[in-house]
Amino acid sequence: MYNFPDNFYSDVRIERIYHSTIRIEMGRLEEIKESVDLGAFIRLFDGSRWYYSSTTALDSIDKELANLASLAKANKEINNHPVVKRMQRNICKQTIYQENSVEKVNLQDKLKLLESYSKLAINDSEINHWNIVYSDKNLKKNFYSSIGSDIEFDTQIAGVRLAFRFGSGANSFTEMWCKADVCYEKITDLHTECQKRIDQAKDFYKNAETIPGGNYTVVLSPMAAGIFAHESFGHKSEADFMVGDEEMLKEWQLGKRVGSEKLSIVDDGNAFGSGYVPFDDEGTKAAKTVLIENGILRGRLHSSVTASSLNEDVTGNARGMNFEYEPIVRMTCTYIEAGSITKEQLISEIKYGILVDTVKHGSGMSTFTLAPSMAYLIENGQISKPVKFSVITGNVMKTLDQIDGVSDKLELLSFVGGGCGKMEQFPLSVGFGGPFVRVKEINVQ
Amino acid sequence: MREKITEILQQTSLSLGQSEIKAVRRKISKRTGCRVYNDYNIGISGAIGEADEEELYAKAEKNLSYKINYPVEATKNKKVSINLDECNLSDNDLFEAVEKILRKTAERHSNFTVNHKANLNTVELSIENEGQTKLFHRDKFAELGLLLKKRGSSDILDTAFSYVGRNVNSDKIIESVSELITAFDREEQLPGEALPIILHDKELTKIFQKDLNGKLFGNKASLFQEQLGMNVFNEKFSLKIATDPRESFMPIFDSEGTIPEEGLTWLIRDGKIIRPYADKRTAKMYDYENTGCAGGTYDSVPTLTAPHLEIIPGKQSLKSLLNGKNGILIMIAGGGDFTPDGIYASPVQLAYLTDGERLLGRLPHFTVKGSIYDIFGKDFIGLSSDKHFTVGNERLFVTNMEIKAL
Repeated sequence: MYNFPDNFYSDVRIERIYHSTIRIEMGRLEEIKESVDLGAFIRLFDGSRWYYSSTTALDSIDKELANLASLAKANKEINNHPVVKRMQRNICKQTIYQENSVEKVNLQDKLKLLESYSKLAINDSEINHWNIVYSDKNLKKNFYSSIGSDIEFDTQIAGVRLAFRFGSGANSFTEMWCKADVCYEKITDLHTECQKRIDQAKDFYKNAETIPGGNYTVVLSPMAAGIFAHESFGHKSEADFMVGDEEMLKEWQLGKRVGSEKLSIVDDGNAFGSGYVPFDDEGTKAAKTVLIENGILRGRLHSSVTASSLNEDVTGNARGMNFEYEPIVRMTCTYIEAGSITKEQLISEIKYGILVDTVKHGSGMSTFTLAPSMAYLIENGQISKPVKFSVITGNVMKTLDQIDGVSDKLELLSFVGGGCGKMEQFPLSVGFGGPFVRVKEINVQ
Repeated sequence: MREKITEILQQTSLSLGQSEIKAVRRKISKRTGCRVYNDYNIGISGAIGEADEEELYAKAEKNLSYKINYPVEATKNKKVSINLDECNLSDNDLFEAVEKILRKTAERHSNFTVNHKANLNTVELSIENEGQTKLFHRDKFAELGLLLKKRGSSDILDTAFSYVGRNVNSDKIIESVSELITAFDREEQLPGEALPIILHDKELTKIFQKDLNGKLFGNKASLFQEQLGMNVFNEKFSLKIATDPRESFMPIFDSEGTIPEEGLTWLIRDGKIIRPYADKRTAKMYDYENTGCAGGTYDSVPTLTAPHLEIIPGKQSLKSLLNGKNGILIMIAGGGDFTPDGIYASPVQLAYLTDGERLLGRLPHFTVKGSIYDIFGKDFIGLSSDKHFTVGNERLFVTNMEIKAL
């Protein structure tokens, strides 16, 4: 155990990160590597300011703690500070990915797996350019605090990401297929799914037509709904942006209606996948946090600091990108909850609209955007043809209110090779998803 | 042949929240990468923290067994040492400057809070190999990202000030922040007439980062595939790879140790597409010129990476480019994208009306749209000769685009 200085709150987070990456481009092996990083992030709080340090010299942690204490002002009442009182004292060992760690899979086997996927692109003469990446990470964390927390847990993700391009000049189309899971074995036999995406993209490339801009009824796929939930509402649920703003708190009062009664959004670090975070980086146990329930604002995402400021409970959302960064309020796995009608019913009720299937990226302030990759026209309740346009956009709050149908099957998605960005911390692994979600009216550009 | 890459970052980082310094983070991080070249293959390894070089080279040699083809020579007999550490700022200086900015802004604009980060970075990067190459880059600079949020606003930020530089003039920053906030509070209507659009050039040059990629060209997959050597854009439009470390805060050499000749950094000249960008391997594979665009992390195989690009400025100031009109300055346009045929569309979350010298007021949200061939073609007005401190201390790009109220 460490020498936590008296009259301060302090904690130590130690991370051991095994990761490997293999990249093949146009049939050529471009990179294959694996490494183990080991480091610690140290925090100290004196009641008015936080002091942080990160180090890879694990034998210097006590010295780092003492250094941070020398910068701060001793506070005999620190354990009664509202921030410290919100810190959970957890003692637990929850390592579930050591026996089946991706570290135990031979790098040569990973290469063979990637080569088997790359054959799908090699064998398709219409693909002009492609690259494929295998990536995995096994992360073991130990967390100790001056109030007695002693936690050990691990997370894991492994995945394959194929990016491919048809055509050239003005007539080209780029698409991607990415699949990730918590166990290596679960991504070894997805070739049929990958081939299906290639075939779908080829059809889209050959047949997609441009449609005029305007307002359309839009059905969001689980991927699009997940990105929408993450970008448009998830970030607004991160409580750090409303701390110290009384007017904002009135605007975002729990219990207020913020969307259609069909809409429920949650964030849950217990969901296995790329957003699995059983304990956050303050040692708080993951919780299922209901953000919106049937259109009513029910909760928000907290660290100990924001929870204390807003007099609410911690939620397990204080996360640092790695051992070089301090925890800030971040999402884990954010998704829209399933409704009661089938996807087919949802679409059959639309006379003229659009299905957004895959998405390149999204963003959200008070105005959100989704840049679709593959989208389809819906005519008289049927998907009729592939269509292309730049972005869909709208006011977040109006759009939440315009949701008039949610399908009955939830799909949670995991990823490798990207993540969420906030402030300087990018990329952080998150998960998201949802069912198919229908919005009465969204602007298409 | 053996080659070692060393990256060192010494950073003091202040976390800002509700116009106060909430946290102080200090770190020194060291990353070491080792490469071994043998028989036109490359082996790699790397570590964070203090590392045993011999162990790393042994791992890199083991990595050679995967036969990652690297059919070019490592850079030999090149010695360059650049030290831009002319910044006299101490951690305390940064602390005092930021406290002053926060205090004065709070006094002047109690309805806004300042959030996010202020960092003081000392960076070192070196590449050394057995071929007598020794490249060294050191710089020290401050980075301020001030997110300005109006109390009661439902947005995470309402307007923002950013700055990267080797000194911190707190008075000048306070005035700029004040100008941004004052103009934000002055709501204007969308103009009835078409006005020039003013953008930070990087918002739109990302399509050139994507489609002037040598590998895309080599595989006949670029948007500009059939237009190499052709006059495609306005003759006033020229685009170069940014290589001046004073301006870019990046090393003059790429991760293969290439320092491109000035002439090779031009990608578009007087409207004509001259060349795609390339690294050593791409240049050899597709018979292009090596423009010094190898990137990657300290422990990766050097790989073709999109460079920082700069539009060549004209001789006219922003005010002069606007030619007596007001212009629409786009500050935040998040989520926009290009269609495969080069049509750009984006919602604009924050735009100001400006006369080229002052911010006159804030415009409501709207959408913006235009073809890449028009934006840099018939509608291209120019890049300002003057830099604008309030807008990231950057030169600004002026064009015409279609806008629509949201």
